[in-house]
Amino acid sequence: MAEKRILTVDDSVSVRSLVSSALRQAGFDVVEAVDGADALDKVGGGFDMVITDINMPNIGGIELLGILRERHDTRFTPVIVLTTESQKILRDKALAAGASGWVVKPFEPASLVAVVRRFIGRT
Amino acid sequence: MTNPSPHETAPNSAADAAMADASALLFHDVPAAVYLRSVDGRFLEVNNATAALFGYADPAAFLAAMDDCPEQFYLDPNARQSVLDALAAGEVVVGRRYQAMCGDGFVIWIEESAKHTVSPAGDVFYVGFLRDVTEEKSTSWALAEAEEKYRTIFENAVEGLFQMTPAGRFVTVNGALARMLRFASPEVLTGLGDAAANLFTHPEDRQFLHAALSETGVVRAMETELRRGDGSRIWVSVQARAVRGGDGAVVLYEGSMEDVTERRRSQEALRHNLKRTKALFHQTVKSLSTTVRFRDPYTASHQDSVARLATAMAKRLGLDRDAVDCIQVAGQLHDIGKISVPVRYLCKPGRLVGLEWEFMKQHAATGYEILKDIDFPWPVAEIVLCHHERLDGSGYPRGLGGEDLCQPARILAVADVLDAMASNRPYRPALGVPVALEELARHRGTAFDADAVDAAREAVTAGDVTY
Repeated sequence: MAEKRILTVDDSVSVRSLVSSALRQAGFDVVEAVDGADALDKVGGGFDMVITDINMPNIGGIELLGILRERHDTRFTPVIVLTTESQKILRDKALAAGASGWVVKPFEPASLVAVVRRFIGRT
Repeated sequence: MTNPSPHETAPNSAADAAMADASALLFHDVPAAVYLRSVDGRFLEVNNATAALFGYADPAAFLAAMDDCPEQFYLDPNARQSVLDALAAGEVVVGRRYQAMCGDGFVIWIEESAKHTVSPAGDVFYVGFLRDVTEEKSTSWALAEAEEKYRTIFENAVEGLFQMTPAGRFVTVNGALARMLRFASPEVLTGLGDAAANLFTHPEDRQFLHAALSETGVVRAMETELRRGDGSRIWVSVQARAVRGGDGAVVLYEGSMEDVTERRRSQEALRHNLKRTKALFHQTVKSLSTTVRFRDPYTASHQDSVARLATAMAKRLGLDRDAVDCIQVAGQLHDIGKISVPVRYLCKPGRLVGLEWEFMKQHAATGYEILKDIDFPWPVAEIVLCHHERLDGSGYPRGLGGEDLCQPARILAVADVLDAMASNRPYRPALGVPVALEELARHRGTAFDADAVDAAREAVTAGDVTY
């Protein structure tokens, strides 16, 4: 079975590299994007999951989520929000916009891998 | 427990039942997440707060979900196992923190504390307590992320950014500043210690910086020259603000500097160019004035003297630099129109009559014609045209009155008359300064401007111009 591909979107380079290394060690293929606009440029290749921050320059996470749900090629791609925000009102908005999960930073690498696996299974 | 019982006199069994009800209430309604689990790790009972913590409607929904998922709410299976191992070993688990999955896809941070307990019947259970610590964890992480963001901005800024102690030591600098000052890295620059104060080529600039920051707290666009790491010099524009300690003393300067060497160099070049252009202008005026010399040396030297005298008068009248320059140029060229007057009239002893006089009077208009197309910054041609006009309307060529004559024209008229009378002319010897001043005094305020006459007297008396 081919490696599952995950797009991680965050304007913080350290968060991106933490996510990447955790998921790569678990056998996922990871591509990084620096914000929502960059993510939309890269997402076309077909990803099994998108992990996105909320507060980013250019296009933010909630807006990105809305656009992904509109596009026919990403309509059913699971999206996990990875953010420092924990307000229920924001979370409900993301869930309503079609987010599959909401992970509050910081994260343990093993826990992140476990979350991803709960949504898209093992590689 | 203050729950009043209606059966205060009831037998013991009823009291026990009431106490059991109260315990159940305590367990279910306490606003903290509590659980009871068996030694194999299965949840036996949880209270409402536990169900709410994980986003379930009630304890029953929580228990059903936990039975369906072998990892339960634990995301990292090791976290779950280590809690159970510790409890099995008889240890008390205190404040274990890990991420947990809620029923609605929300991943939170929880803190778990638990110990084992033995029922009256001798069965062993684990009782535990869970707490949501998401906000605590995320706040410090958000701070770290924000810090990273600002550090990135700081390090990638195009401008040189710094924090400096009043003694001159760089505490923090970014890469742009190190590059600008030609040091290998920010660390080399901060490593200089107080010796960095010597980077200022003018020590008084650093003292000024300190004084200004202590006084007003802010410095904007202060330009100073610095020595660079490779020994070369650089001009920078400094913006800084003072950071004060608890006692109000300035403990740190922070700000930015920008390389303005190029700008200063081009400004310098511009100043130099302007100076050359000005010199070129005055040389050109002088050359033009000299053209007269070849046919009429007297007129040429008369123009030189009038220019000097009129300039001295203008200065005595307190005119600004620009007006003085204007009068000098007009004086230097005022008789240029005499080029068109036949030499025999210019040198003729005695009075000019008839056509001769008409020819002579023409020189003012000819001067105007020669000069009118030159784009002087002042109305030089107009002044030249007017230099034989008189305030009382008795002059030529137009017979203008006082209100039509500008100050330069009034000054020039007086200077022209004084010099003509005080100097030797081809057609007569000098009449002398006293005679000239007498003549001017006679027409002071009528034909001639009173202030100009006074200024001429002062200039000659004080020796600004000598005859």
